[in-house]
Amino acid sequence: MSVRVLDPTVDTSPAKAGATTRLTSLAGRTIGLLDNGKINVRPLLDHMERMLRSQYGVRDVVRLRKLDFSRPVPAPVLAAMQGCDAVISAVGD
Amino acid sequence: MHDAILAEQAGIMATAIITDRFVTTAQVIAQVSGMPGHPFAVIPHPISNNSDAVLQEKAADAVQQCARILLAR
Amino acid sequence: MATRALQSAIYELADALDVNEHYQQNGWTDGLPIVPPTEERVREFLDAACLAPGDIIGVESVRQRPISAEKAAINAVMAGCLPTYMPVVVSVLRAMCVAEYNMHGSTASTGGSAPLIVVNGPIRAALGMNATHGVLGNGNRANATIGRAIRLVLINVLGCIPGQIDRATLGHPGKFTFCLAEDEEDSPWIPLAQERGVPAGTSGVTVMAAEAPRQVMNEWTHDPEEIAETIAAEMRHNMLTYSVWAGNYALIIPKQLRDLFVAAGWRKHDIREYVYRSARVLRRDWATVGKGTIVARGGGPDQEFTALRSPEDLLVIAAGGPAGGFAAVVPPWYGAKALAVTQTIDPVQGDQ
Repeated sequence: MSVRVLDPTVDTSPAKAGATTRLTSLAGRTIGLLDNGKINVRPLLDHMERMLRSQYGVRDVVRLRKLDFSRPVPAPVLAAMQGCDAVISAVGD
Repeated sequence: MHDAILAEQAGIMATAIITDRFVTTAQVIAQVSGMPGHPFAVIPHPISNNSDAVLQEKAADAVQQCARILLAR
Repeated sequence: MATRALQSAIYELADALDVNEHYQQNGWTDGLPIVPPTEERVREFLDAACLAPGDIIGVESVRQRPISAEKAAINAVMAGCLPTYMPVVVSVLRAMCVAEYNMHGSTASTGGSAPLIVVNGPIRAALGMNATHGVLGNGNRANATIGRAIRLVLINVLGCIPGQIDRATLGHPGKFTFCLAEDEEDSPWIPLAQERGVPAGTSGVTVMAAEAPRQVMNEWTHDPEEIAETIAAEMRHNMLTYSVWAGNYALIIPKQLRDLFVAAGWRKHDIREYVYRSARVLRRDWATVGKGTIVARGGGPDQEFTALRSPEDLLVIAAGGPAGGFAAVVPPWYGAKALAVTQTIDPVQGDQ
């Protein structure tokens, strides 16, 4: 008989991801790519989509796009991310 | 960066690709959003005038960095 | 919408005793044993406060540290709380995240303060809180564990660990727990939270960065001014021997002295007015307590200092057992650098 218990601490080491737990593998995962609409972000993400599929075995890539790069991602786009295991937002400049 | 934070706050694991000119800004955004040290990938600025070959190189670099961020150690 | 999945790392250990040893060795407790925070228990606590794990209760603004509902629930389970206590724990944390509470300053300082928590309203009875016998001491699960949950959050979520971020030189036992309920039933006075803006009949909590309570006694008079004078004298002594700066003082008045005030027609307001006028010292008074070198400084020997910036700085609380002419004066950590904050406790399904 064993007991499973939760960690009470918050790890603030910068090397780890934020509030969510990380994946053990990208294979078979659904990754969202958020395009903020700036120049050359789409071709950059096209290349990344190809590499994620071929090199990391990502199963689905959801392409999301913001129409106004100066405003935060709108609620419908945020909602569309719900099916993703992780999202990469590009490009902050 | 802000969008990645919003996604995280909505419970979706997220990171961002930032150009190197905006690293400090991204760090400040993470800090004031309550997620100090939230990691992101960095690629050389600018991208707006890059050839496709250069974009491909930066994409490969970004994918590697994002994979490291998103995967457990 | 925040995810409902728990995000914390999970440890699998042999049994509850092993869990406690593991957490003790990791420095995740206040030194006392803890209750194992299982996923099931944590979920019960989140449900009791209608929170999703990823909800952010508040952010400590200086170091930008967010406090998630999940982490608050884990630490509340560890403290020994019941799920029904969670709304109070959440409200206390929210209050402490308000800028004027100064959570970082007050919890990190060498001055060693602890959050004094005063609960008002129907939730006191719902949780079986103690407002009478030994109200500043041990014996009541809700009083003890609500205060303890806050300390565990400070330790584990905000890294407030003695010798690290917590630089308290001495601290005081209130750092284990420092939580009481006001005795609203046996007092005609307006409850503290209501005075500070929470609607009558609604539960509320007031939190203040506080030093250790100083017990006074006066069983030699029925005169309200003389009783208030004893209280003011203790505040003057605190000003001289600890810190002179004006800010929130808490005053806890048990039944015996309270009944004398009430018989004389005094309300909380009258106590505040008297103490505001009387709790003052002159710079020259420091010579009587071994601080003579300060007398010649500043505004000179006749410079006056007041314990309270206004009468409203005094938080008057009706609480304590029925016998004994005692009262407790609770000084602030550092004048007005941190101020008391009052928060409504959100009613959840099944409450009141």
